[in-house]
Amino acid sequence: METLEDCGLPRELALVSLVAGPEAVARYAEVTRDFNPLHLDPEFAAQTSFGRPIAHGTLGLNLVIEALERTFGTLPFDVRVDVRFIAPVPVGTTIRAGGKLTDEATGTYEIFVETASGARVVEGTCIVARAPEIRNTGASHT
Amino acid sequence: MTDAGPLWDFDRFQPGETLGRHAVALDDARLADWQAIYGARTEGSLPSGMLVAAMMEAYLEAFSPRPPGNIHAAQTLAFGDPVQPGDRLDAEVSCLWKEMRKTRRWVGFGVVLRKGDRQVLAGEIRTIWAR
Repeated sequence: METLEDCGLPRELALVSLVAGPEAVARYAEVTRDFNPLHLDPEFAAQTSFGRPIAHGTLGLNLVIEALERTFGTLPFDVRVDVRFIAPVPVGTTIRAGGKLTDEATGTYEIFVETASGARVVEGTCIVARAPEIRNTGASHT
Repeated sequence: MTDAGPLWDFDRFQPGETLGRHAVALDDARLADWQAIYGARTEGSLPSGMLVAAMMEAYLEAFSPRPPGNIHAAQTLAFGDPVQPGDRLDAEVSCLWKEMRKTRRWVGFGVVLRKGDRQVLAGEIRTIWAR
């Protein structure tokens, strides 16, 4: 019987991490032109329900995209992503992203971003629509 | 973009309506900021996540003023043709749908990024609108 390990797609995405510290968040604000003080101003954020600055949600989401690119070498053509932002990420938090193959037939991965303690902050699915082509071109397996 | 004009509250959104267009340059400065966050890349390649960042920029630039406290709750992404450093993208932002779920005001925004006539990213930003 063929197992997931035999099917050619990596069973897991490369695990990547970063510290969502003040400098990274400030840089991300430049990249997105999103200078909402909730992300950047501790005094402002202290007056909100969060109580402290929160990293941009897509800063974490993009760590999943990084995991995909590091796994496959480049982003496979026609990738589809569907995620929920389930918890805020306080600035200064270390986060990591990865994924696990759940359906070889459709090339579907469960993807996530979590804190160092394992608390999920983003989760969802990613479909690598052209899985057969990826297998045939010998994408790296991790 | 200007903050003048009436607030974009829930009632104002019309599903199907185009809310704005915005051009984004994938320039060296933007790539340098990206690499400071996520690490260096092979020269000549562009991280696909920069398209997600460009999508967020377009979404934020498309319409204002907005009420404080909106929540970015969920997101879809469909990647298309690849891009290269230095490319200029054109983004179009629209309201796809809106819906009351119990007391929450949900609004779905569509953002499409194109390089010329080729689509490079389409995304749906699902929000809980504050008022």
